[in-house]
Amino acid sequence: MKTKIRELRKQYKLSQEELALAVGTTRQTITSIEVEKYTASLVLAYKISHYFGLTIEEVFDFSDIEEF
Amino acid sequence: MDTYKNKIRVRMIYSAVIVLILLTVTFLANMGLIGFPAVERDFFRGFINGLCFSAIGMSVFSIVRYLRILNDKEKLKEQYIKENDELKKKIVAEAGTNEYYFVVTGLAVGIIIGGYLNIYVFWSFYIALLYYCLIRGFLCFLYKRKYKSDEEDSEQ
Repeated sequence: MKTKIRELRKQYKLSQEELALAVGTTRQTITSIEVEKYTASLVLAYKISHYFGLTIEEVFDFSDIEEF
Repeated sequence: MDTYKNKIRVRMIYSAVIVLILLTVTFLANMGLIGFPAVERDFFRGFINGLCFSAIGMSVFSIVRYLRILNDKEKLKEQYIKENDELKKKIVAEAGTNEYYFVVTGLAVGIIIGGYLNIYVFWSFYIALLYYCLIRGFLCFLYKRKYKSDEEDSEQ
């Protein structure tokens, strides 16, 4: 899933480590989310979005979600 | 964090019990008070002693590590994040699903082949498979009770 986390981090001059610590996860998880290898859980997605003061939809791109 | 601290304390107690049991068994075995002819052979006894002391060393190391973590808020938080990281949990869950099939089929094949070749090999594989399935079944039962709802699904 595409996200704007990398852009937001650069905007706020945050390292992956700093963001990870702030939202209670590891740097590897943030890396995996940024390179679209892993999709964050609802709770983590909320924590990341809330940290940047944005909604989940503003940070995570749901346009590629499969519809059944 | 208090729940997590209690979890760590339980682990420390568990490690301490393991150390006590292993020390007791090693002492009794090396004094010749327990043991079968197989453990009298030098190589095998040395191997088992080595395994035992490694396990004791690792248990003591983890007790000391947990003691340090309990007294340091930052380290406690770091350890909590490491253990509860969702990516790590997902990796372990997915590996666990596949691991089950590989282990069960491997042991089952071992039982069959062992049955033809050597009775001790047969029983070793059989008991290992039985133990594995029992533990897995018990854990599945525990987690099913923990996560599944008792309410019946109702369609609207």
